[in-house]
Amino acid sequence: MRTTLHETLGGLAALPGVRAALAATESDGVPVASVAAVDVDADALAAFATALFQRTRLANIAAGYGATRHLVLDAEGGRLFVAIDGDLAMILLAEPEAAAGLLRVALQRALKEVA
Amino acid sequence: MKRSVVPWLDEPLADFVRHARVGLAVALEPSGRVLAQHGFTRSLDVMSVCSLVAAIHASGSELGRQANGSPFGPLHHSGNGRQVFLAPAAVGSRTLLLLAVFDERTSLGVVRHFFGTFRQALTHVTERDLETAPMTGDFERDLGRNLAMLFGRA
Repeated sequence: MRTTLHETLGGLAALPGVRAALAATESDGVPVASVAAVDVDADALAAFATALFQRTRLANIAAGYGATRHLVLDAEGGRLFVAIDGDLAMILLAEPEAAAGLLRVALQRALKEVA
Repeated sequence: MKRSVVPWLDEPLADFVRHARVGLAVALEPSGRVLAQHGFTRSLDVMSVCSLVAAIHASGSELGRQANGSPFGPLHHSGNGRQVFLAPAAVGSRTLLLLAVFDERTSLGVVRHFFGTFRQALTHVTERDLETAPMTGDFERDLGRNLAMLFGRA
């Protein structure tokens, strides 16, 4: 049985170091569902994460690298993960010490579950 | 082209246009009186757009009152290449409308976010600012004067 979007996001948000897990429309950058810490602005996160993914995708196309499957951004205060299937974007915001490999795999699995 | 008839709108509108990456933006009173604009090159276009926006907002607000008990909030229409975003913002005890036209260079989420910043910036407008550049007056006279100013004829 296919899991619901909220169940999937809840599973992602329960992983160590994750502060927010959300699904958004890639073209509009508007959140569809989210499980996030109270201090996370899910609307802003969805808007900027999808905008960043779109720019990265254009850059990769311009560079001749083909399709962009996954985006990881490491910053001083945290990590951002974005994966997209069709018009569905799944976004994770995590603490800097969170296990990037684990989160990346979990995000890809979650995307397959709900896409 | 970007010029406003109310100086307190200059910076918030410029910031909104720059950060949200919208192509066209116009701020107006609910009556249709234009206050500031960005991206339009012909005054006739601004006049037409403001008239349409005022009518759309009036219709949407009344529909909201009847169906929802209070006016509806922001409105978004998506076309093939371009999209429009229309939303009210409070300025003191008054309201202004902001219409933004954008394309694939940005997204609804980004436009919504920076509209929030624009609306927040307007909370700093004082009654004194409003008195020096009022939002009310003789509509026909103001329309002609404002369009002349916006398009550099005054």
